[in-house]
Amino acid sequence: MTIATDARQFSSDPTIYFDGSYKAAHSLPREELERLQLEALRQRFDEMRGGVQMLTALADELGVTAIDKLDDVVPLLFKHTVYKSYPVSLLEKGRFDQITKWISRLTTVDLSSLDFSGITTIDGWFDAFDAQSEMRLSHSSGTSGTMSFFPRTDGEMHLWFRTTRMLTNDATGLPANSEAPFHCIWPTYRSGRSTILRSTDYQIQYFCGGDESKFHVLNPGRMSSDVMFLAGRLRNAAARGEVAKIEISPELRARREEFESTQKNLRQSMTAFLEDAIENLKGERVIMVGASNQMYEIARSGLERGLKDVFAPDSLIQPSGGAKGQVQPEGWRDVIKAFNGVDKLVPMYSMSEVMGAHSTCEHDRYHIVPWTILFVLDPDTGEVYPRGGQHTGRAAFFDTMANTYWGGFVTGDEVSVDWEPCKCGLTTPHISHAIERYSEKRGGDDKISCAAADGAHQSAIDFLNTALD
Amino acid sequence: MADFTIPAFIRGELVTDNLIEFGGRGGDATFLAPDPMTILDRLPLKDPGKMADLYALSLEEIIDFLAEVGKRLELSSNPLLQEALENSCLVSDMTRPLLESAYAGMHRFFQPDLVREIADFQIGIPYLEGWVESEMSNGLRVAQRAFGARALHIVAGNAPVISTMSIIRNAVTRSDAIVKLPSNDCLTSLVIARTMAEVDANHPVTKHLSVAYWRGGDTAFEQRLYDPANIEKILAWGGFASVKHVTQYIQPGLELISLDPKRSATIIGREVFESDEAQAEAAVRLAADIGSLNQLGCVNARVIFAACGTDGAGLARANAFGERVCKALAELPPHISTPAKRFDPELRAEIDALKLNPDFFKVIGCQENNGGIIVSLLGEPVDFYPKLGGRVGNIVPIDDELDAVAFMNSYTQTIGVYPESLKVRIRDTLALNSGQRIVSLGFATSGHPGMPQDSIEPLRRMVKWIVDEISDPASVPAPWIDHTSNGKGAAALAAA
Repeated sequence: MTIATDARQFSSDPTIYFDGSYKAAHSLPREELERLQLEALRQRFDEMRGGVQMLTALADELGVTAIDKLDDVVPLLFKHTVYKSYPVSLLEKGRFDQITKWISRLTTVDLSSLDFSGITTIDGWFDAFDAQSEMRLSHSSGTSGTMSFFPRTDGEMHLWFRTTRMLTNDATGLPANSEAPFHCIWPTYRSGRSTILRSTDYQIQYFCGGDESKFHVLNPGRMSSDVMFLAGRLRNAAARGEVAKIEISPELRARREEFESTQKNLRQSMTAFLEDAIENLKGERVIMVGASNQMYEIARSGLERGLKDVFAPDSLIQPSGGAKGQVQPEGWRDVIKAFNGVDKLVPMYSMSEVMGAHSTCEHDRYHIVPWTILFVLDPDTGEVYPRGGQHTGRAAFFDTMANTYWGGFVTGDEVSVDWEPCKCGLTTPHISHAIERYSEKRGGDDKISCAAADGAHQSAIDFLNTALD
Repeated sequence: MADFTIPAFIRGELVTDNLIEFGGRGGDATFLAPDPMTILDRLPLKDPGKMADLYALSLEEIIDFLAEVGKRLELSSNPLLQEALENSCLVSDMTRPLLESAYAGMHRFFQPDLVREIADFQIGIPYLEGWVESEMSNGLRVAQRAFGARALHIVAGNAPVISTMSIIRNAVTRSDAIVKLPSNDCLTSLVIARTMAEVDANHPVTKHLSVAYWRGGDTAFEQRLYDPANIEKILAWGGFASVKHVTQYIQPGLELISLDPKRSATIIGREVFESDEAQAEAAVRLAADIGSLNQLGCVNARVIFAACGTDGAGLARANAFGERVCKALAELPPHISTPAKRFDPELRAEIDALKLNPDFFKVIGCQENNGGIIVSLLGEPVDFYPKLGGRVGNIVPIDDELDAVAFMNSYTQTIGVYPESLKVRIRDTLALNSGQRIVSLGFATSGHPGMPQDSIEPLRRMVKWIVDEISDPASVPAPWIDHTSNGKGAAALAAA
């Protein structure tokens, strides 16, 4: 096989290339992996250099015409701002034709025939995408007052979850290519168009064997993207002294009751939901995602009541958060493990912009999946650190699986990478468990300036309710 | 190892005990300063009666003392000032040439004529010097006097002049100040205080000044200091978060004087775009408003509304004007403006993304740490406009000058206008729509320290207005004397 066809298979579906084996994927010798990665990267660059207009503009400005080594792509990695580089007033005014035209500059998918006539809301706009195209457009949380949009197709979403299933089989001790169903405990909305809520349909397909009844949700409703956007705008406006200038459209006003009832559902106790799910799913194989402190509290009180080993041992327990500012009680992991009946916890590192879920090994190191190429950059200059030794800096990725949009992305995360082989035996680069957001790290440095900057953090939902009163 | 030490200055005395390390976030310099808890009890003036020593002095004696201090604040001859400048270069967001010119010009604020003018314009010297009598229409005679108060100054650190002004305001109002140093200017207030002590450590003005560093948000410390038993006023500069933080301590007996987050705007009239000369003049003036102080001040131009029209020809005029401004920015002399010390990577990311969207934005310049211009082709400011810095202006084409009003809000402070005739025409409208300071284009960072600020007169807010009401029963109706024609007396009047 030539390197070109090899790389094509590698990036077009890693689960086939590695025959469903997570171990195999993470065990390629470093040189071989980087050779594959470089070839896959070159292929993506050649395909998209002319097809993704924003990449074309960037490559033209920088004069990049070819990729000779992995680091050559670093200047071409998109910053997070690229995904929200439209004037936000277009979204406020419902100019969906213009925003779609802007999105078309991020993708090779032809969006020119999409028809948005009569559409007045963001929710309706997303539905039109779903109905008329293969694109499963998703958005960020919008807390900054603008929304980022990610132009991923249905095909790419499938790839993302096929690879995540591969990782899940390994983490739970199931055989490669297993399709054995899990019960998923999903402590939020059933659906929505944010990247996280976009995933639910795919989770049901790949983790629940397509059985909706195995997907246990806190709130059966859909999180409205219009409400998320409005909440972010209000929060942002409060910090800018512009709340009075926010206009709430008649369409949104008309939906006030819908929002309030959906919101009330969510306000039912998270703890009660989790306790119910645990009660109903005793002995079952589950996937549970949740905040580590909440998981700990439930586990601690469960153990006190004599409950332990509540789930099947091949369950996947994924605690999240807690890296910064939260002090976990001593032995918190053991408490969660004992209660849930698993012998390990598998936190994962992932983000909306890159199709990778990086899970931890027994040495608490996140291993970067081989189809996303990691770069670690100087946080100020953006210069790339060498691919050897240990470095702490800004994480950036190139996602070789992205086949309709440019997979290069610079994160806001500070990571500590070790390029040398991990004690666990896997060959992929691995990063420390402690990941911090630069935005949090650099805030609160006691520099005071009379020039106004953003900085309000108040409950978006409370603002929303006040604004609608 | 820490880069330098910031002693506390407490009422004329330097404290260098119990040093702990501060700073160092995001690659900044670190410094040592006394553990705030160890100086907490010494910072406040517990007994306000001890401000009597300030009243044994005439205002002219205070002005003379400040003049002496000013004479010592000569950069060439004051080693303390030279050292503070060097250390400032490590912590300030300003570049060395700008700091040098700020430090070299510091003494000018201490000139007697200027200090006298500040006192007289904002308060009126007679009210500071003694009791001023007036007679009211009901026969009441009042004597009023402006007394100083015990105040905490939470100063901003983006420009040294803020610290300088705070100390002068404290002196002329005969107040007692505790200055909380910001981490981005932890030197200026301190070096002025130390220079005062060199002139006379026992002078009442020196004895009523304390300067110290503690980390903003250190609630254990703040809860004990920010108390009406210790201070009566807090002058808080700064952004939304820092001023909002201070409000939690405000209670009866403790007043907030908020010099809160502010942003500025610029309006360029349509007639400018009919004349090449006017555009050349406006471009140079605008570059000065964007570039002075390296755009670190709230007074600097950031979003520029240009009434050049929003059709194709209008956008072309905006782009051409943007090119001119960008060129003028690059030509500003280094003591006025330089490329940024550190160009905000977040702003860089925002600008880089705009470059990929030529339908919406035209980016001119903005290479490396040099500033530049973003033209908003859809006629609205960029979403990230509060982040504009490093000498980057955002030109927003509009059709009518008053279209700019829609973008004003309670955070709008300075509005630079060109030409002058336009200013007179629109100033009432601007004032009614939250504009606070309307200036001739090019002079946004000049001003005069005696002017109102953020639409208040800070000195009038700093003092306590005390009245002595002098009522003579012969001329003022007395409650106990019956003044009614039917002779039933005041009690009956009240009942009726």
